[in-house]
Amino acid sequence: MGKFSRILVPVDGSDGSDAAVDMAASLSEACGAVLDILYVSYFDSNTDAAEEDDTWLPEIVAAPAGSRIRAALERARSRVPEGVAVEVHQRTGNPARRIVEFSREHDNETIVVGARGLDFVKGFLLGSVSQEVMESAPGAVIIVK
Amino acid sequence: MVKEILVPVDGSEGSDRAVAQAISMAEICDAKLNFLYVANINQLAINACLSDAILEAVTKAGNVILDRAMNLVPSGIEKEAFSETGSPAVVILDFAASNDIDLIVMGSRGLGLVKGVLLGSVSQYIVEQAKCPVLVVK
Repeated sequence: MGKFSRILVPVDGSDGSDAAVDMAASLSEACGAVLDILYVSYFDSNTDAAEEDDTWLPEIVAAPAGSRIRAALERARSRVPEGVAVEVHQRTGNPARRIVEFSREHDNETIVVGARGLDFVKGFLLGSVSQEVMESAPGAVIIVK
Repeated sequence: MVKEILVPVDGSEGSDRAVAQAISMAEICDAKLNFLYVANINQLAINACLSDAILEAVTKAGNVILDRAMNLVPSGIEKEAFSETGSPAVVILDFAASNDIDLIVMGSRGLGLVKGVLLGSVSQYIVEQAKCPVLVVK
């Protein structure tokens, strides 16, 4: 507990995750911490279809994951002021579980998450990923509105 | 950036850890610490007509908890203690809104009656309803 040396911010390219990145970036700047930006998806570029097929599947499922991941990570990175040490990571699997696992591996004292936006379910006061991260994270969690 | 930090305290272990974390945040951000104790009078009123003696005892208990938190803050950090009565979750949110609080720091458990759940009912309510960021300390 106490000072931060590594801060983790999971992102998904949503407005909620932008707010989390801003908070995490200013904290990292203030205490000289390394900022880990993490994108977790169920799919990655390995599961993308080789060619564009006409499909009955909705865009969220059928669209290539690789470009979406890159766009979200780039968007997050561009919000971080210069001078902050940033590391960008990508994992595949269950978002909440992977986020907590990552924070244990990298000894992140704090995880900064958006209150909503990390999954498909909108309209709840707190997203299910944010809720699960808050409950199962070993350290402190900042929920940003 | 964070300038006003609110730390609701209730004397529990969780709230002690929240105080320690809030002090580090205040140092990092050069922010002011606002400690708030909420006496849950509504709950006491369920089976007792409030006498002055009870009120006095509740106030004293709150002051002890607030003093302990205030004494932990190193010199150079601005701090203030507040004591209110009412339903903790509601009073905490009102306080945050009317005092331009930038960050609420609280323990994951300990502010409510129910122990053993992953997140206390008061903490859960505040995380959901607060307009500002909330730092939940384990």
